[in-house]
Amino acid sequence: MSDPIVPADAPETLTQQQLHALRAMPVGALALSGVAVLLLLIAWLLIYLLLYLPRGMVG
Amino acid sequence: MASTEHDVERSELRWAGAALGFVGIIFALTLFAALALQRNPPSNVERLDPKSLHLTGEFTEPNLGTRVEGNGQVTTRIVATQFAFVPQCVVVPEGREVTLRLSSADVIHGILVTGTNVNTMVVPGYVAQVHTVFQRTGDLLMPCHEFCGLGHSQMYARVRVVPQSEFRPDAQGRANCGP
Repeated sequence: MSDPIVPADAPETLTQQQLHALRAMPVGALALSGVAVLLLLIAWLLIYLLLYLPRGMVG
Repeated sequence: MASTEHDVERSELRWAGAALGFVGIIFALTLFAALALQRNPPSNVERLDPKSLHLTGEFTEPNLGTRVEGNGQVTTRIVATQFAFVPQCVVVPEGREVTLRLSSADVIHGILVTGTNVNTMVVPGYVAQVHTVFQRTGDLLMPCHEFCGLGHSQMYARVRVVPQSEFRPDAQGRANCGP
């Protein structure tokens, strides 16, 4: 059965360029998720320090 | 760079470590607030009968509002009902511990006092209790924050925080907002 996307005569192994791209990809994903989590933590800390604590005791 | 399975594992472990570190920071701050600053979620299990709320016990009309007990403790009692708080305005002193006690005569209500950490649900059959110290004077809005019916958006009260020198309870220890 022929694959419409991958031509039948395509090489079975990845080229050096493709391997390089595959290796570099997780770095970007980690950076993006790291920045997102860091921003959430900073937002939580700002609300805690600037809103919750100055509003006084409750219990 | 994640070129081998070992690298992937290492990166995942590092990521898990960072996540645990963040959780640890938040947990430590919460513990610090609870133990050192006495900031806790209001917690009180005290039952009463909502059907006889207005007839007997501490939530009868003469007891509502702010009262200074014999030991100097300031207690404010409020009844939440569709769609009003009774009384509509309560007066409390600034910089002194106040105990808010609320109960509902009908459905589930909730309160928050703007600009403070006071925030609790008012469930029929129970007494909601919050201890707090109001830190600035002024009229603070206290809306119902739990949808309780068609008039929910009109249901609010005012908490009037006055300086201690202006907080003058009468001979029975009661203080109210006045005319």
